[in-house]
Amino acid sequence: MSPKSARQFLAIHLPEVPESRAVAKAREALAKSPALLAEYEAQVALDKTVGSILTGVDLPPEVVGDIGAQAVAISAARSRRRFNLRDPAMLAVAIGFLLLVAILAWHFFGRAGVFPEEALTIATEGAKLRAEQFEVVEDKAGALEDWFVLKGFDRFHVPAKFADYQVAGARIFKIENRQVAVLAVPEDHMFFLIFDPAPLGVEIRPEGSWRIAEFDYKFAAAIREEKGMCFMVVIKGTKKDLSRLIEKR
Amino acid sequence: MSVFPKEWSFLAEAWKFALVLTGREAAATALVSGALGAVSKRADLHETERTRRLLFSILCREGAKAAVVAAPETPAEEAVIFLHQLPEPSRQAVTLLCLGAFSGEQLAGLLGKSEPELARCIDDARSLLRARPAPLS
Repeated sequence: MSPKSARQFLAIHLPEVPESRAVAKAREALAKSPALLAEYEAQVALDKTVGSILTGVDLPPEVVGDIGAQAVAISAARSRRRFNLRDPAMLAVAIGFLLLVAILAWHFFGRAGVFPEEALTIATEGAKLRAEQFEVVEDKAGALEDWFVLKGFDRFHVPAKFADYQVAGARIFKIENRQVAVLAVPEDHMFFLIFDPAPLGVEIRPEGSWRIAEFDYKFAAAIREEKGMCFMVVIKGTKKDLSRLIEKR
Repeated sequence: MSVFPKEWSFLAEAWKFALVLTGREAAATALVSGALGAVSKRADLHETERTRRLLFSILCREGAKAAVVAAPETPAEEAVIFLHQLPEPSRQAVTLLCLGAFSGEQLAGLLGKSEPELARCIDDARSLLRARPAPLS
């Protein structure tokens, strides 16, 4: 380090204060320059004198009392403030926490009532089926479990409220290689679709709640989950028509 | 040993610094008290080091506005008059350095100067102190 740089570092350093690496290097430079060393020693002596004068100044007792009391009051207010909900920092944390709870609730309780997109794909496929594509089955919707078991669909389930509908035809079709049971119901020109929601990424929470949506401009679908299976009603009509139909049951 | 609570031990240095800036004990007390008032309004200050830095920063800013006193009235004022009569920014720089309140690097940050600028300020102060009728060293 050059004497000029060393002088600059040493000029702002007190021997009592811990040294930085730059100051340590500057000290090494002192050994090489007697003039710089003499200057530094004079500087240290002057600083010590000034320092000892400042150290020797006594604070008047009333000053210690007044300022000390003010400082203690600040410390006390700070410790109270740490648990004060009106503190902006605490408020921000509280809002953040509530937001997190809301997001988690939205995620776990059915994405705030949104109709699952995957289910809409199934409803669209189901609505395209024509009468001749069904096998003729004339029975109540709730009585077709055995018929579907024989067709290889094991977990057929229709909610009790829809079990009494008379069915005119039934069939199974596949979406993403997963089976979907479909019933053609002449009353109100409905289709019932039953499928296992988990492999298709569908989840309706809470169980038993309905999600209703319109699609392809002329159809409406309502879906719910019960006993681990999704039950979907598709009609040619509006959301309002379908809501009325569900409430009727 | 400080007479203030441990986390406020720097208040003794702060008052002495304020005394150098104002030249009067009463004004020094008022200056520190005002700075503490400003500190108390800050809800984001919990660490001692940040509090200390802010307090000294306020003292530097507000203390520089005080008029220079010609005649000291108390022994404490008498003791620091030689520093009080130094010009700024050398006065603040050399006083804070000799109080040992901050390292050179911290002091440069507090006074808003680069280290070479701070070195020049302190050198100027030392030259003025040596040139006094009754030299300090």
